[in-house]
Amino acid sequence: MSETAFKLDGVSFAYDAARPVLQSVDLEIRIDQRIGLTGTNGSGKSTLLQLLVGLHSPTAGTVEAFGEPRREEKDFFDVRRRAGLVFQDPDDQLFCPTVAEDIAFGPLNLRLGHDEVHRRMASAMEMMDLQGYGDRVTWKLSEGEKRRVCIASVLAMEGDFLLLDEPTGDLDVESRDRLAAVLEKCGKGFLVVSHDADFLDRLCDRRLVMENGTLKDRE
Amino acid sequence: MIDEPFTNLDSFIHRLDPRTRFVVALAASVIIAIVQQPVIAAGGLACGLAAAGLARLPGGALLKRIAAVNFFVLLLAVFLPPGVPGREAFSIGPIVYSFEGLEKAGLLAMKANGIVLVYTALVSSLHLAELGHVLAHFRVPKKLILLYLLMVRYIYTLEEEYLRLRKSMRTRCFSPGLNLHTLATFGQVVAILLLRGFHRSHRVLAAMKCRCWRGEYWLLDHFVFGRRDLAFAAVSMAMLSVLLTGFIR
Repeated sequence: MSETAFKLDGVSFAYDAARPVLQSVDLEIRIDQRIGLTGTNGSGKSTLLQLLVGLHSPTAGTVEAFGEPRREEKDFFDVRRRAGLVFQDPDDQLFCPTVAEDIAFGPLNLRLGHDEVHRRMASAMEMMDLQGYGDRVTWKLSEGEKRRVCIASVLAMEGDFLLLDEPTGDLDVESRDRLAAVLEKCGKGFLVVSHDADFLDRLCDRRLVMENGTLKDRE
Repeated sequence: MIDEPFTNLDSFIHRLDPRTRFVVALAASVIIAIVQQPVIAAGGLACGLAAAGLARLPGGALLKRIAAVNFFVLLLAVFLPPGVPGREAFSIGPIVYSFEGLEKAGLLAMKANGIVLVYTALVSSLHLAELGHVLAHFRVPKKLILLYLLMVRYIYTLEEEYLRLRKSMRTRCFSPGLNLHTLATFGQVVAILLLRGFHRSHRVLAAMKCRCWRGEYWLLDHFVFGRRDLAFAAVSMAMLSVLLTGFIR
C-alpha cells in the first residue's frame, strides 16, 4: 500500500469562534491518490488545503503529513517541500519580477545548484507551455498566463503531491486541457479544488464534497 | 501607474552590465551636482546628452520627462535671480534681475538637466526589478531589496484593484464632485485598498512560505561584467575626471 500523504483526525478550525469552518474532519490521502474536492463557496475548501500545509493551525484534532505528526511551523517546512500548493488567486502567488525568477523561487529556497534550478525551471516552463516567457514581467501577464506560471512555479518544486485550489479558474479550454494532460502524466497524486465537474471527472479517482464544514465522499 | 518607456530598447547602453550603468550614473550625478563653473556644467549636460544618444531614448518620452524637471527649473529661473545681488540685467517693475542671478539659474538648469539625462539614459533604462538586483549586488540589505521588489510588484495590483473599484462606482452612477459624498466615497475606497492590501500581504507571505521561503532572497542569475563594460566605464571615468579637474582648478 502506498505512503500516506496526509491524515486528518478530528480536525476542526474556525477563523471566528462563532462560525466554525471545519468541524471534526477525518481524512486520509494516499500519496498516489487523485482527489477532486467540490463544495459551495465559503464551505472551507481553501482553508482545508491551507491547513494541510500548515498555514493554519487546527483548533482541535491532529494533522499528520508524510507519516509524521505536524504541529509547529518548523514541522511544515518538509511538508511544503513535498507538497506544492497552487493558490486560488495568482496575484497572491506571483511576486517575483519575472516569470523565470518566480518559477525559480522555490528551487532557490531549497538551495539547489544553478544547473539544477535552471533544469527544473526549463522543465516546468515546457510543461506549462511557457517557453519564451522567462523575461516577461509577472504582473503584466494575462490572468490565464499568471495561472500557468503559478502552476509551473509549484511543478518546479518537484514535490510528491500537489494541492491545487481552483487551478482552472482563469484558463481557456486549451490551457485547461494542457493542465489536465500535465496532471495525468506527472505521476503524482493531487487534491484539486474545483467547480469544473468535467475536469474532475477526467482526472480524479476519488471525489469529495465539503458541506457545512464536514467532508463526505461523493457517491 | 509605473511606466517604463526607456526599457526594452536595443542600444549600446542597454547591453551594458546594469551595475556599470548604475555606478557611472551615481558618479556622474555627484560630480555634475558639485561643479560651480558654467562651462563645466555645460560639459556635464553634454555628457548627459551623449548618454541619452547612446541609449537611443525615445524622443517624446524623454521630452516629457525633461519638461517635468524644467517646470521647476523655470520656477527657479523666475524666482532665484531677483534674490541674488549683482549687476542689473533687466527689471520687471520693482523686481530687479541680476546677471549673477541669471548665471546661477542657468548653472542650476544645466546641472539639473545633465543629471536627469544621465539617470534617464543609464538608470531609467533598467527594469525596476533589475535595479533591485543591482542594489543586491552592492550589498544593500536583502530585506530592503525584498521590500522594494514587493512594493514594485504590488503597486500594479493595487492599481488594478483601484481601477476595479472606480469601475464599480461608475456603473452605479457615481460622479465625483466637490461635496461630502465624494469625500466619504474616496475615503472608503482608500480604506478598502488598505484593508485588501493588508489581507493580501498575509496571503503573499503564505504563498512564499509554501515554496519553502525562510527569510532569504536568492538571485537567479548574476550580471556579467565584460569588455564593453570596461571600455564604457573607462571612457566615462576619463570624461568625469576632466570635469572634476576643471572644477578643482
